[in-house]
Amino acid sequence: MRRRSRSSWISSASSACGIALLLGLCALPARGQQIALAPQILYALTSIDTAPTKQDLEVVLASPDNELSLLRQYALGSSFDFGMRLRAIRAIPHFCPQQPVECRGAILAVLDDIDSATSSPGQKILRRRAAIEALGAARTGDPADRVRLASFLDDASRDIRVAAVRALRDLCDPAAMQPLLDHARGWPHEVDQVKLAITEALSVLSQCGP
Amino acid sequence: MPRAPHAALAVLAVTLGGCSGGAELGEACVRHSDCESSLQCAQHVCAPRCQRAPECGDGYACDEHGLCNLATGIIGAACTSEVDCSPGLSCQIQIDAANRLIKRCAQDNLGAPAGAACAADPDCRNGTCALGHCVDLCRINRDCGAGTSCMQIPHVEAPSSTFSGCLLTNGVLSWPIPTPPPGIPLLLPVPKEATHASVVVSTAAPRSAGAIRVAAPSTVPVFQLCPKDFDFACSEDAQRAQFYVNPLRHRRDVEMSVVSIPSTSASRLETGVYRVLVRSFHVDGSEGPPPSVTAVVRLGELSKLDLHFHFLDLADHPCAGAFGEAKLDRTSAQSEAFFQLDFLENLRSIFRESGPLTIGEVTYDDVARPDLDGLELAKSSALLALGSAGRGVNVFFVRNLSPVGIQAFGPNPGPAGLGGTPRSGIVVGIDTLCYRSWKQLARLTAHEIARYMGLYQNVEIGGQTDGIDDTDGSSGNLMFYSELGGTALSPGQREILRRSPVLR
Repeated sequence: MRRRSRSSWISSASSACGIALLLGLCALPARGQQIALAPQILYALTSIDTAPTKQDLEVVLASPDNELSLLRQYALGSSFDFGMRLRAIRAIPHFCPQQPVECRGAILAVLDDIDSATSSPGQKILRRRAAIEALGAARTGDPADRVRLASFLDDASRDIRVAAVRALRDLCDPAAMQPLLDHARGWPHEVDQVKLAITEALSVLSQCGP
Repeated sequence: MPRAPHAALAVLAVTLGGCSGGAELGEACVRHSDCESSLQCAQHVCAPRCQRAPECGDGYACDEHGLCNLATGIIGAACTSEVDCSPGLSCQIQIDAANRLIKRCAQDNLGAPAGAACAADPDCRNGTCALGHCVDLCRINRDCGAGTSCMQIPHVEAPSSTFSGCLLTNGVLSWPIPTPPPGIPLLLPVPKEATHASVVVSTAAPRSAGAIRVAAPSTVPVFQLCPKDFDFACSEDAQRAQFYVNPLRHRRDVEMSVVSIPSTSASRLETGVYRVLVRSFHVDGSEGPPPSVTAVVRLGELSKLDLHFHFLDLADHPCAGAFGEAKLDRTSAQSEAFFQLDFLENLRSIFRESGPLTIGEVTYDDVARPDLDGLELAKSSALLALGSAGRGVNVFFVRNLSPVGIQAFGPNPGPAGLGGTPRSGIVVGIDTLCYRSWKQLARLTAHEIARYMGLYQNVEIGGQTDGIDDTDGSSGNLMFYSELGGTALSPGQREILRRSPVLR
C-alpha cells in the first residue's frame, strides 16, 4: 500500500488549494487540514439515486491505494458538504477487503466522532445510521462489531434501531441472533417497523453458517 | 357503431304525412329541407345534424353537410370504411396471397364493439383488432366516434401494409402481447400519429427480463444486446458497453424492464411494425422461461402530469424540523405551506419551465406498511407495486432509504401508463430534509420523475452522456446525477418528456 506522509499531503494539498480556492473547489475540514476537492469527487459523493461503485470511486478519487484515507477524511471533515460526508461514510466498506483494519478503524472513528461533532440531532442520526450500515456491510469478522451494533438496539430513534437490526443481519453471523432475541423480550414496547425488521433479520441469520 | 332504431318514429312520420320547412327537433319530416337548417331529416324525424358517423347509427355515413346517409355496401362489396357497409355489416380486412390488404363488407361478428379490448380479430364485432382494441376502418375523421381520429395503422400480419382505422386522438393504449416462441420477435405496431411506444417485459424475481434485440420498421436494429448482432451471450462488460452504442437505450432489470421509444436523438419513433426479441434470464445469466409483455402506445398531444403522493409512517422523524415538528402525512401535506409551496410549487415550476408540462391532478394517500417505512432499495418492488395509479407518477415518501445517501430511486424508464407493477412509481427519502431544503427535495424528485418518464442522466459519474444531441454535461441540467445540480433541460430532453405516456 502506498501511503503519503501527513506533512507531505498537507503541503501538496495546501498549494493545490491555493488555486482551487479561487475556483471554489476547496474545503476546509476539521482538524486544520486543507484538502483540494475536485468537483467530480463532490458530485460522485452526492449522487441522487445510485451509490458510487468502488470503480467509480477509484476513478474520481484518482489516488491509487489512498482511497480509504480520503474517504475517512471526507467522512470526518466537518466543513465538507453534509450529503457528501454521508456517502463517504457509506462508501468506506468498498475498501475493507484490501484494508480491513484501516477500514474498521475509519468506521469506528466516525461512530466515535458523531456526538462530538457539531450538527443537528437529525444529522447525528443520519451519520450514525450511515456508520452502522457501513459496519454491517464491512463484515470485518471482529466480534466487537456485533457488540457495538447491538448497543444501538436500545437507541431512542427507531431509525437507528432498524439500522442496527439490519447491520446485525448483514454480518451473517449466527451469534448476532442472540442480541436480537434479547431485544425481542421488550417486544410489546417496540414499534412494528423494528419488530418486522427483527423477524426478517432472524430469518436471514438462521440461514448463515457459523 | 351503436344502432339507431328509428322505425317507430318513421311510422309516425309517415302517418302524419309531409311537413313544410322549419320543422323543429323531433317533428316529422320527409326530406332534409323540411327541418330547420341546423337539423336533418333522419328516418322521417327532424334530428340534429351529425358531426361523426357513429351518431347516425350502424350502416350510416355522416357527410360534409352533417347529414346521415345510409350505406349501400352489401356482403362482399369493396369498402374502405365502416360507413360503406349496410347495417349489420362491417368493413373487414382480408389478406390476399400477395400479402395485400383487401377490405370488403362482411357480416358483423358476435364480438365486442369498437374501442373494446381484444386479442384477435374475431373478438371484435367489426372484425378488426389492432393495438389490443377493436378498431373501425375509416376514410376520414368523420367516420370515427368523438375523441378518435382516422389514422394509418400498420397491419402486423402484413407488416409492410397499413390500413386506416379509428384510434384515440390523444391518449394512451396498452395491451398484453402474447409472447412468441423463443427466437421469434414480437410485433409492435406503431401508427403514424403515435408519439411514443414502449414494451414492458416482466418475469418473476429473482430472474431479470428485457429485450435482446429491437428492429425498427426500417429493419435497422436500434438495440442489440451484444456488439455482434444476434449474439446474445456476450459478457456483462460487453453488454454494458453496448448500452451506450445502441441508438435505443435499454437495460434489462430484475422482474421488469421497459423498452421506451424514443429514448435518444438516434432512436426517433418510426411508423410501422417494430420487431422485439425478449427474454428472461436466470440469476446465472442462462435463459429463463418466456417473459410476459405489455405494449404501450401514446397517441397525440398530452401535457398534464398527474402526481399521486403516498406517505409511509413518518411519525417521530429525525428531520421533523423541516415539517414543523408535526407528522407529515396525507392530511398535513394538503394543508401545510412547506409541502404545498416549498415543495409542490417548486415541482410545478420545474416542469412548467422544462416541459412545458403542467401538474394536473394531485392525490394524497397514507400507506400502512411498517416493513417499508425505512426502505432498502432491494425491496423497492414491494413498495412500488402499491402504486395503483396507471396515469401520472406514484411518488412514495419513506422515512429513509438504504444504503444511506440514496435520496430517491425509481425505474429508468418506468412502465408509464401501467399501475400496480413492481416498478409503478418512484421513492423519495424524507431524511434528506435533515440537510437539504424542500426546494432541493423538489429538484431531486423532479429528476427522478423525469427518469421515470424516460430521460437519462445528461452525464453519468463515468462521463457517459445521454445520447440526446443537444444536451451537454452541465451541472445546471435537471438530469445531472448529483443532488447539487440545476433544473435546466435542453429542447431534445423536453421532447422526450413531452412524449411520455405518463401524461394525459
